[in-house]
Parts: sequence; C-alpha cells; structure tokens
Amino acid sequence: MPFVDIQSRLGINVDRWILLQSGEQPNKRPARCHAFEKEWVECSHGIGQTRAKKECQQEFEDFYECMHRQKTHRRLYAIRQQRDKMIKEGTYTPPVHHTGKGDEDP
Amino acid sequence: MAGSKVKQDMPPPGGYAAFDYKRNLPKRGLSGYSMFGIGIGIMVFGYWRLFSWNRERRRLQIEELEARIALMPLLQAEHDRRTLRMLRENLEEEAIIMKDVPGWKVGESVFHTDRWTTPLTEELFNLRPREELLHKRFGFMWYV
Repeated sequence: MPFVDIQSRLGINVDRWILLQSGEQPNKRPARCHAFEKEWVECSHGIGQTRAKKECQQEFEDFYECMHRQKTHRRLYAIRQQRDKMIKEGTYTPPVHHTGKGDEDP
Repeated sequence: MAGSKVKQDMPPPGGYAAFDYKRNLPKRGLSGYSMFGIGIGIMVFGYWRLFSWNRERRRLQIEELEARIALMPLLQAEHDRRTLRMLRENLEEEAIIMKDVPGWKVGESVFHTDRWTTPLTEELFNLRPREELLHKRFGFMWYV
C-alpha cells in the first residue's frame, strides 16, 4: 500500500529485492541495463507519472532499447539486407575477415 | 518256523564301525561385532582420505583462481582490443554498404546518450557468417 509501508514497518523484505534491476544484487553482479534504469529512475523520481512520461521520455526510451534492443536489431537487419542485395548485384565483396576464412589472431 | 536256513544280508560280525551322526556346526570366523568394526574402520579410513584430498583440491582450486585473477588484466585488455577492432571493421563496412541508402547515418547510436554501451554479440558478428555467431554464443555449452 502506498502510504502504509508494511514491509518497512515489519522489517521484512518480501519483494523489494526484485523490484528494481538497480537494487542490491546477489554476488554484486550488476544488471546489463543498470545504468539506463538508474538514469530513468533518478530522472523520474518524485515528480509524478504524468510529468515523468513527458520529461523522462529519452531516458525511458534508452532503457527500453537496452532491454529489448529492437532498434539495434532493426538496424543490423537493414545492414544485412542491403549487403545481401549488393552481393547479389555484384557490387560488393565482403572483406576476408568477414568470410570466415580470415586469420583471426589475436 | 522256517529256521535260519535262508541266506539273509546281515551286518558283519562285531557290528559296523562307529561314525559321527551328530550335528557339526563349528564356531568359526570373526564375530559380528568385529566384522562391523572392520567395515566401519575401512569406511572411516576412506572418509579421512577423501576429506584430506578434498582439502588439497580446495587449495589447488584457490591457486587456479588466483592465477585467473593475476591474468585478468591481460585477458580483459585482449578482449577489449578485439571488441574494438571488430566494431571498427563493422563501421567501415557499414559505410561502404550503406552509402547509397538515403537517410542513413553511418555509426549512428540507437541511444540518446553518448555513454559507452557494451556491444551485443549480434552487433559484433553481424557481417560474419552465422556459424561464427553460433560458435560464440553456444560454443562452450555441453548440452543442446
């Protein structure tokens, strides 16, 4: 309940430990999107949901992107499609290190 | 009445020799308690050997971990150099590939911030054959 913080009153931690990725983690291992989530939470803390949706939209979009990587995947797909098209037309040959036969050390 | 003129099969004179017919169950071997004792003794010896070897293995494992800690800067530096090299190669190829696509900004970050974001494996291996990506993702797994 929002104004009756039962868990703090009883001193128990039933679910607060799983609410935020940026909280206390076991073995101190940070989440992958820790920074983005921290930015978003710090931006939108204490200003209410309506304002937060307007003002913290960039942080939220970055956090969402970090979690789901939709824009990243779309971009990579576009590059791959274009490369395959160019290879079919014959205008592009991939360099040696991209063909799987390159010398990969170090 | 018929007298003893019939030939019958009779025991020899003086009777048969004596033989033993009584039960013969001699007490032999170890007692039950001592057999338990020997078993438990062997087990205790086995446990002692096991525990002391486990302690030795723990010491060896700690040594291996310390070696890993000692080598970590080198391995991390190599890994970082490799990541940066692959990103650079991808960037150059992207510039070549996408130069005719309208409205494409080469090397554009998908985030609004300009912090360093650790690249995904898919980003690093995007232009390489799919097999290399699969090796990177699943190469160390024993199960399928």
